[in-house]
Amino acid sequence: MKKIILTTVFSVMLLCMTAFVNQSNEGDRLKGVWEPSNGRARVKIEKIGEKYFGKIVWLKEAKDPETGNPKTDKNNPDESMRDVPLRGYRMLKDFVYKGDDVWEEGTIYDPLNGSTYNCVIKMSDPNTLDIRGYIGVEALGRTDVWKRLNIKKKKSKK
Amino acid sequence: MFQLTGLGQVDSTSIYEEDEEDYSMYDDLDFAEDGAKRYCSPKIEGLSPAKLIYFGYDAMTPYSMSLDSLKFKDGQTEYNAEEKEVTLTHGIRLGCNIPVISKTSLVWQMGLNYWETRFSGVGTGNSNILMEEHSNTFRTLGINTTVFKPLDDKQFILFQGSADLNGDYTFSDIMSLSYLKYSAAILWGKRPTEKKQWAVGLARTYRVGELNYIPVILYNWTDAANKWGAEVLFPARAKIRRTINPRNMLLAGFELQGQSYRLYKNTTFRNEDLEIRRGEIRLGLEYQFSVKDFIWLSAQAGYRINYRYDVDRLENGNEIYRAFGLLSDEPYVMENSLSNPLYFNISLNLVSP
Amino acid sequence: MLKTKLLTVIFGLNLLLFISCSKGSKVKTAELSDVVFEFEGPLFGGTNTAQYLYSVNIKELLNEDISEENAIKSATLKSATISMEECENCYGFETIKSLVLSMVSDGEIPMKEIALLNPVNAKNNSQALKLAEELEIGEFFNTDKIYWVLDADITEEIDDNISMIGNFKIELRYD
Repeated sequence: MKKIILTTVFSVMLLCMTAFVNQSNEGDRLKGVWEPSNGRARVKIEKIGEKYFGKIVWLKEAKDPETGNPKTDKNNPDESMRDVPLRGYRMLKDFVYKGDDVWEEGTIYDPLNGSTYNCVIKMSDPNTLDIRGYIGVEALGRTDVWKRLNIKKKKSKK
Repeated sequence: MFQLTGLGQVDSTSIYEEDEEDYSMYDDLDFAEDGAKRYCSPKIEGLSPAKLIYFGYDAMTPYSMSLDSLKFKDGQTEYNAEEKEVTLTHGIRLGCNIPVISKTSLVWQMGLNYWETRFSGVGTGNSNILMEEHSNTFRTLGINTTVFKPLDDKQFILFQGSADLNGDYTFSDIMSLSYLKYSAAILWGKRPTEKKQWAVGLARTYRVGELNYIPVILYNWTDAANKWGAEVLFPARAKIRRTINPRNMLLAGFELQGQSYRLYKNTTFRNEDLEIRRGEIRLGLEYQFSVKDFIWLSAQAGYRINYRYDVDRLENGNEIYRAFGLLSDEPYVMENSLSNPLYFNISLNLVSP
Repeated sequence: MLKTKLLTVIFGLNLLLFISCSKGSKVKTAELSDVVFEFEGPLFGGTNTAQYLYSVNIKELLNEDISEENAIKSATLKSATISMEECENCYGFETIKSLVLSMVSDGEIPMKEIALLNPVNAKNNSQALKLAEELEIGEFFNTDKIYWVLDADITEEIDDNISMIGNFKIELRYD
């Protein structure tokens, strides 16, 4: 009897752990390089801790036409952070995988006007994301469709 | 001060399981999915923000209103001409534009708007029946839709349509929907860069105070430095924009406004099926700024030039389509004139991402 | 006499009210030193990221026996210095274009960029980062762990690892 109970408890624990690991792995499908619909930037989504972040890795117009220097976050409401280079800037932040191909609780930053919006990401297929930035409620927002890009791997790490 | 030096709980590792970045590796990439397309966006960089919800108030300084005598269809003339000083013309402006579909391949939004216009100084007991009508509130209740359909990464089709109920009705005695005024515009255009967009098309409009079919030109542009721009939907409006920063903008230009107000409340007019054809040109300056995040305030001031304020008769319930006099020279029932005041408008807006 | 006593009582009450309403009545400056950010090579030109996982221990942080949750009422970064590892063949700041320091925590606290250096003065081996104006980071110290994330924009391909050492001073307010 004792053996049966222990076996049952152990099996349930294993099942829960497996489910958790699977959930965690499912969330990692977000990782990769993506392109917004306007084709002006490319964003690499990666994981820090349990959350997902997207940083700009390519800009169609990488240099500021006025200065000729690499673009910086000159519209940031925090003046002290306006020298942060845009290439490398994390415009997607703090996304948590919620299951059912949805990542929530994150924000998206628009460097064109320095505004941060609430955001939800839905993966409509393995190569397509619906990124919805909104104000307060999802109804007051706009969806942009991002497409996954093929990335050519270089040398692997030591 | 306490030192925490290299504690055992630390873990300094790079997060990458793949490769480090060389930015050049992101230059020439293909989509992972075969057949994926890029579509042009309706957004133009640097444009003044689009309003999702707005609460506004509009007012004009005093002006004189000269109203004609009423010429009935049988040729009889009644009600003397009269002139009065309208001391204040004012009213609220409310509206919303909500995205219904907001995808890369299609943007569709629906909107509602409600405008009121009240006239002070007209009083009651006027000898001219139209003057007497101005003791009522003139209302516009409308529904509108906008569809932006990109054809590829450069071309698009834009459709705007609206239906408005304009008149001196009250909500307890609202006009029949058969008096709705329909406007629409359809344009084809191109978006060669993120800072420029143009389109041409045709519109059915009441902007000059009566029904007309006119060509329209859309042109939105921002300069390379994001300092200057133009926002044009000719002939409805044209403005030059000066961007102080992305949260502060100045605009200067003109806008055509106009409605056909059904004179509903007075039974005399109902029997005659009469409408005021109102058209005006507003020349002004506008300052828009972000109060906090997505809450913006816009303040406008300028000069209102009255284009038309005549009363027209419907023929068997149908409007007389004059086409600027080309198709009909039927005289108006009343040809009125208004002098030109200053106008002021303030609006609190929730703007779109 | 009575008037003086009354004024003293009123003053004392006001002071008590002020202290109880203020954001944590005790202040301590903690130093987080020799934080190693290891950028594993080969490194290519562009932004590379290293992180440092710090497990928060309030008792150790404040050197006080504090057991309550959310003990930290507020915290601000007072200084952030990044140095390159000093050794014979180690790289210096001539290979670094910019640095951005951020904090991340699991849970609902959003990521915060807290310090920045752009451009980098290649002559110094120790660089003081410019601190963000909106610097409140207290909520991070009420969690179990903090990821300190350092983004370094590297100028050229480097086959080796690069190690950077961080030293941070944090002012903590608590009850």
